[in-house]
Amino acid sequence: MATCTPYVAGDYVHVSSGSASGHGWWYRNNCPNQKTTVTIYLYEFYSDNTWHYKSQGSAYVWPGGGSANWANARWVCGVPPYGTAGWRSLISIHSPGTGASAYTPARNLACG
Amino acid sequence: MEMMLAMKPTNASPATVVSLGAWGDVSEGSSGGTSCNVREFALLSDGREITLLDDRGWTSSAPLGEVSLAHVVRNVYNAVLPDDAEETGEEHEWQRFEQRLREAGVAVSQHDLRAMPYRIAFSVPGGWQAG
Repeated sequence: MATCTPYVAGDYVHVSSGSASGHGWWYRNNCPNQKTTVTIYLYEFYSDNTWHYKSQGSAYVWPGGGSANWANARWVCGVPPYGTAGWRSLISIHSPGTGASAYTPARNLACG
Repeated sequence: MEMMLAMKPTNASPATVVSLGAWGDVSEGSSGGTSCNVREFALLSDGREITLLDDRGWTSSAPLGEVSLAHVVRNVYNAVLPDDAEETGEEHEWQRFEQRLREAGVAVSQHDLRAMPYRIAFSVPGGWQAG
């Protein structure tokens, strides 16, 4: 049986209710319609020119996304006034088939 | 006795919201996938367009040449969902929309905004489509 190739997707990291927040979901493409575990990792860019891991979230969900079928990761912003820094997320699934992963583009957010 | 009425300039017909929508700018992602910047807006009766939310977007591992129209539209809807949509069931940031429109001089209730038609349009490299 040929290995199937699912897709992952995620929204750009954004500030919501005083936190940096990102969501991840998946599409089955040519894979069976089943649940899988979506994990999203949040990263912030530091002055040493590297991405630092900040937080993660996972959910066992059906394909397609939406509020009932996404994983969310959040990081509470520091004390105002906020500095601006780059943020991005990595969305990953290990199954079905080949699994999949994707980074969202870096976004400069005021979430010091 | 003759009375003088105070006069001041006023709008002949204040603008109203006629529809809501999202504009997506689809492009090839940096690692072979697809990305899309998303901007939500309100279209007014006087032709103006008011930006309601412009800090959202999405990325998919699906290559641009393989991503389906349904996939693009679904991702736009997912990207504009409020963070607390699990609890509220809301599909858009109605409170923020109402505030942005009030700041632009347009009085409209969240109830009325929910009843507005909502359209998604997007550009793709080499052309554009509406969904």
